Amino acid sequence: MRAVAKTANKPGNKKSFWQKCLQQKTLIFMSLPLVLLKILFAYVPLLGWVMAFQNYKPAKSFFDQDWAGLAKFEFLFKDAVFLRDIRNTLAMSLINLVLGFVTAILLALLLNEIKNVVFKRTIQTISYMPHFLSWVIVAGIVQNVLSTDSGIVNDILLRIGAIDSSINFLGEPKYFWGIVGASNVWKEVGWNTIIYLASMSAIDPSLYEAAEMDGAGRFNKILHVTLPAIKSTFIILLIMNIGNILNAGFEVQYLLGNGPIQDVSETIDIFVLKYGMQKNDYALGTAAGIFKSVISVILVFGANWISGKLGEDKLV
Amino acid sequence: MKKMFKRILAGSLAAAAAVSMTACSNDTKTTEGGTQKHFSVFITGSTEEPSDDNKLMKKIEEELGYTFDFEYLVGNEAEKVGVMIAGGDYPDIVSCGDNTFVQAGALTPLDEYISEEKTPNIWRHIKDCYNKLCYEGDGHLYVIPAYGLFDGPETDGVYQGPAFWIQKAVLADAGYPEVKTLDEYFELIENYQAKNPTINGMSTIGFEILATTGFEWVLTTAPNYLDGNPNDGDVKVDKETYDAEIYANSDFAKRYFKKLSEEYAKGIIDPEAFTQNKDQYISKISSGRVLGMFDQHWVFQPAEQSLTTQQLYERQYVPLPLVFDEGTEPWYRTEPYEQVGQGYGISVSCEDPEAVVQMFETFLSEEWQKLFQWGVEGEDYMVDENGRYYRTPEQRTQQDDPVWKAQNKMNAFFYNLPKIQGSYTDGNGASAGAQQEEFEASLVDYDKEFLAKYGKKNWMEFLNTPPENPVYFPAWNIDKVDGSDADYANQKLTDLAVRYLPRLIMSDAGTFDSVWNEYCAEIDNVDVQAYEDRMNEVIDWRVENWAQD
Amino acid sequence: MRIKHKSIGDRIFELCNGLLMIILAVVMLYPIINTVAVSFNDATDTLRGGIYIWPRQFTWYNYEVIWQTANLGVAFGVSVARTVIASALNVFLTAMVAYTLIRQDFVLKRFVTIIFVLTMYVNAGLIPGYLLNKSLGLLNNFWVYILPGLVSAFDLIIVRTYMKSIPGSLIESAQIDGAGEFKIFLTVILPLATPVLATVALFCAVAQWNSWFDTYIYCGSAKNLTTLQYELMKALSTSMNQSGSTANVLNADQAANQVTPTSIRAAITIVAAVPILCVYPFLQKYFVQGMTLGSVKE
Repeated sequence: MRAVAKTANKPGNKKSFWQKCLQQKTLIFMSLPLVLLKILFAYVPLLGWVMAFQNYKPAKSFFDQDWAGLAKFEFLFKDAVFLRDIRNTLAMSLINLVLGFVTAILLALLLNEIKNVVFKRTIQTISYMPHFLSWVIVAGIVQNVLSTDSGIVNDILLRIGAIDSSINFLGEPKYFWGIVGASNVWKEVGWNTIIYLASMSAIDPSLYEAAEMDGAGRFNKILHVTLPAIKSTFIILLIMNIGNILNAGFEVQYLLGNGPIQDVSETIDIFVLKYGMQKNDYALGTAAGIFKSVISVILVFGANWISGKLGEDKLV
Repeated sequence: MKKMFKRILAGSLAAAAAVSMTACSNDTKTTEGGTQKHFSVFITGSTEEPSDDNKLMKKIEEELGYTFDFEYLVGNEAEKVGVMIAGGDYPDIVSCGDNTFVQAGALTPLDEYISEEKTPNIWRHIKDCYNKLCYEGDGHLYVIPAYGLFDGPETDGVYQGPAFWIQKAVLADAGYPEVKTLDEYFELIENYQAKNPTINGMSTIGFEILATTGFEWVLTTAPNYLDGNPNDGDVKVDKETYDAEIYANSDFAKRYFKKLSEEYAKGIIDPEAFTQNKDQYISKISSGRVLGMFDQHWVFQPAEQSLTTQQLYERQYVPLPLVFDEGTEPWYRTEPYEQVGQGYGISVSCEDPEAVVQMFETFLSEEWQKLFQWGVEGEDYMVDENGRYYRTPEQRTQQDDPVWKAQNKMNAFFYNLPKIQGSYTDGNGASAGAQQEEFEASLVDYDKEFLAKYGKKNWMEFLNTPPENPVYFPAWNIDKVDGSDADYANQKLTDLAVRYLPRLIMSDAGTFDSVWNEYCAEIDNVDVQAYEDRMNEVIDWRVENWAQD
Repeated sequence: MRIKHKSIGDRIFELCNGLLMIILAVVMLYPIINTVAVSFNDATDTLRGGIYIWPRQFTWYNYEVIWQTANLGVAFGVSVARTVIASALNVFLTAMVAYTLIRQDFVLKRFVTIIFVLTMYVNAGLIPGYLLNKSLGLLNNFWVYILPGLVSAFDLIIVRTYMKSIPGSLIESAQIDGAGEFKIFLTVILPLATPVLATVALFCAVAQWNSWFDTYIYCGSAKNLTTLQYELMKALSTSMNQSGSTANVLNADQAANQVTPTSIRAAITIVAAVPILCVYPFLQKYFVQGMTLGSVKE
């Protein structure tokens, strides 16, 4: 494909930038207006980032605020609790990242192996339904299922004799990250497969036939036809998600968290909610947002660069 | 397409200007005082939207000519109020829960519109506490409180406040004893649980604790009541000197948690208490197997409702004002007090504040209060030959029906309006809940017998008789000032309590002291001084400015 | 795919796979069924717990309350309008921009990509966004639902990645035939990208359908711009306030209730999810049309 692009390039290679622009005016017309729209709606408001350096009060304009310098950042990074929350956020989003990718791809592959179209579509539709439940509902169900008081998990474990007395799963710090990871998978795995299924639909059936003629079994076909076909989607999604590593969400942790496990359950977003939003301190949330943005951008471009070095697809 | 781009271009220029925008851009159109009839209202506290054919709304429009646009609080209040303030455009009437709007300069002072001549109803309603209602920042009146201003004594039969609650069955089983101290309370529970290890086929839970986010106060405030102090939030205010001090690390707090940890070790306290959510808490209480808890009544009200429908009356609860030691006067129930700062404010965007005040004045008349609270005579309530108001059973039932309410009540709007509580000049209770006959009619036979055994007329009488409130009271509503050191210290203390108290209660006798010392050491690292200073500052201010002459 | 002979291994695999999928479906279906059961169960009875897959005391009442108290007619119309308009615009515009990005020689390729990609990781926060929309006249304006989110970076990258797998030779031969860029996009690329565009349409439709926060912040006082999810959130909020989550409930009248947040939440979830769930099976048929690509490709 790259070779193809190069040959198409050939005539334009030595032209100046403006000549090229003129030549590609249709392409520019097709993309630039939307770029301007994005600049308007996503970048112009970023001027509001100045509030991170102010004691921002919404009643006054950005220019009439008291300047606070780096006080908001200092407040965050001097607090051992915030540093702990960074750790928790990283841990939970790493777990989500790995679990999310593995389960989604696995489910997509298995769904792809189902031959009966009706069965396949039914399973697929069912698997993505939990996506439409709010976290409040899902967390409520998780709490009921894991309850020491007639919860089904403890009930089963007791019956098969795996444990002697009920385990208070939500009261023990060691289980929490796993529970959050599993809840995420439960809620989102079906939804996450959609992208992969879409990219699998681009596979040329003749490739399977050719592989079959070469004597490839089911496993080999997956390995040599299906997986390579979704590889670029996988890599691009991976790079994009690495940038979200400081966003572990907050709803599920907020809903499932409690006093005894606060040390592992609180995330950056919960900290910001408690010390920023609930105290009408918008600047603190902005400061935390800037911090997250900077880290995200560094990570995304880092991952992008590494991917390029490895000869894989690049995001940018 | 091109037109759209032009717009977008214009938009980006405007956007750059937006960043320098100031908040106070309200129109200066003037209307003649007191003539505006259509108002936009920002509503919090309830979203119970009146339907288009709402009976009361129609009446208001027909008789008074007022019409409304309502905007409701649905999500996070800080977010909605934040953008409102940043944008500088407000509905004419805004619901206030704290000082946020006042501090942002969003409200119009009401002083000039209120006087004995211009607004006799409002004047009569607030004249005794006018100085208390003024904003401490500038001495002006901005909000007429929606709750806490009583005409006549509080006559509600049901207690909604904080108490140690105990199942009626436990008291009945023990022969209807008077329970005064925490030790007696747990002894009763222990005995009953030993005799009845299961209730309705499920294991009995002696004492339940709600500890989920938003309900931290259930664990933290109980010791203050046990020590004989009123609802001052997380400080104990000295009764002589009015000196406020946190009690999180006090000896009496330690005493309470020590007791809880002993009970935990005995298996009286639900082992799941600290990980459950509110739904699970409510569901356990609804099943009838929880013998007692410390709570405010409104929190577990839905569970009582469920017990009523299951007719498990003996599994419902009685409030007890417990103390540590006999001889301490309990102070759970307090005299009603003004909910300062909570109610409607008139925004600076409103062109005709006088018209709004005049509307409040009209609505505060007994005629309209009865329409809001009781409804329409003959339809929503009846009047007997002695002039007493009552409801038929059907009328009582429909009061709970959300669909009926949407068509007949305006609770969301009324919630923050100034209102009459207690009783009207004709002696009828302000609302059905305040009418003794209505309360009695709601009692089932079991309750009647139960009350008779104690020689009491209603549940309220299980509480202490409230003494006169101290001048500064209550300390719980003192504005900690968002983002101040006092505010952060307060948040830190809550965080520490959430982390340590469950550990403390679950620790055994051997480790209790070391966990307690760890907790106290962490508290010492918090800027408690800043918090106490702020509390004392406001208490002193109140003592100086609130005292009646 | 035509498979003429199945080995025993194949059969065992298919059996196991089928069983696994059924178990999975049960696990995935449970929360939905539970929610349905709760939504049809008497609210006060639900408080006792123990509702699993079947209502214990059947009632329509939770739905009736929503139906009677929320302003659903207008809201449904607005929700459908914003979902349809936004999805159609997004699919077309996203595909258009994505097409320019697969043209290796496009001069602004890197610039456009970076501008879009960064939007995924920077967020100005609520207040600056509000001030912008206010100054653009987008408060209480239908377009506030559409414009700010037009062409999401995530969708764009997904579409671009997919389009990259379309052989460049197709574009080349169209160019040789003298087709302009726009025509190539419309006639060659757009039809071939159907599966991924169906995905984007789904993502966009679901996001639009589920959105209530923008109504709340930007159109809270415009009765004719209310959306289904917003009305449902309002119903939920009402039930929460009724069960006494405000601190100053002084009379029992207010605290008494017959619906509870749990039951209302279950019912609104179902009301909101059913229409959008119907969209997916309809879009699903585009996912197997990889055949088109196979036939074009030589």
